[in-house]
Amino acid sequence: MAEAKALFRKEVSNLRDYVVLVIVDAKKYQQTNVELIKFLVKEQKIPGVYVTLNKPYEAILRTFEDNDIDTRLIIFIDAVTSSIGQAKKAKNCLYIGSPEKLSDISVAMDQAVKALPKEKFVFFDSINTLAIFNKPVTVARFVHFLAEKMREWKIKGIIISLEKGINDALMDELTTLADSRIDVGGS
Amino acid sequence: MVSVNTLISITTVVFGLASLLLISKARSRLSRGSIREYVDNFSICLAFILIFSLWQTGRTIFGREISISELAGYPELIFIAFAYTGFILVSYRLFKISKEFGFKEEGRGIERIIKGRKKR
Repeated sequence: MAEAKALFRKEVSNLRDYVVLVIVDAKKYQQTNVELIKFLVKEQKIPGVYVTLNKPYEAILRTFEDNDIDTRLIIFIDAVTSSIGQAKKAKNCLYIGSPEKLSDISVAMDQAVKALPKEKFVFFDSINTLAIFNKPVTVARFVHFLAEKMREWKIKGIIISLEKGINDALMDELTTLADSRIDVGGS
Repeated sequence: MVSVNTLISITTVVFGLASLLLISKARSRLSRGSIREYVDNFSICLAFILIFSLWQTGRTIFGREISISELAGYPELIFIAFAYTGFILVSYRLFKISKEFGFKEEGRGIERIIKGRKKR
């Protein structure tokens, strides 16, 4: 399953900073994420920020470690694991508590990105979960903010979205905002 | 003729009201979470300071007419005491937020790992 990696490599080979939208089939979702992170951390040796709205940090950590990815180079922002009250930090992960706390996610991302050395990535996983927990207008506004910020930070930005479960208008918006769109395993 | 004292007092109240307005606008833009809670606490402190200033302005304008016997100065002290107590709580919250949202340590750690690899 090197399809995602090959497509990604092809798309970004000539770009230094970018915002790439990866549309992935649900069946290939986990494998695609692993492949892309492997490419960034293992091959390109770039540190970065992984924002998860889908799977808890512990699960992602296990998957990455099983795939021989050096997780010490990644700062995790976990908005899935519910934490009572305020945000909590453990090791290299900040638990936000809920995917609805968009302001906290934004502040955490900004702080994490600015703490990292010059060349870095931000992996946003995924837009679908945002759409489940927030109003369409809020999601659209956040997506705009995210793309704008990724450009301002001059980083390698990857936004993951599942093929299904996101409306056409938002998908078009996302595609317009990104430098490139990669479709893995679907239409 | 308006005295300088009155003018300064009114200006302070206007500034306080403007700050509260700005904060409430900022709050309406934030989704729930740590940052909004911080804004909430800060607004309470600001409200106490504003009440303090309002009381003082009233005293400046009306002399001691609004006083209850000789206790006119006490409410001011209470409001300012509440405000500073609030500021302590807000500062503590900010300290906690910086601990959670600050990634400088993690960033330094990652930089060390990268430098270590390059040396090898």
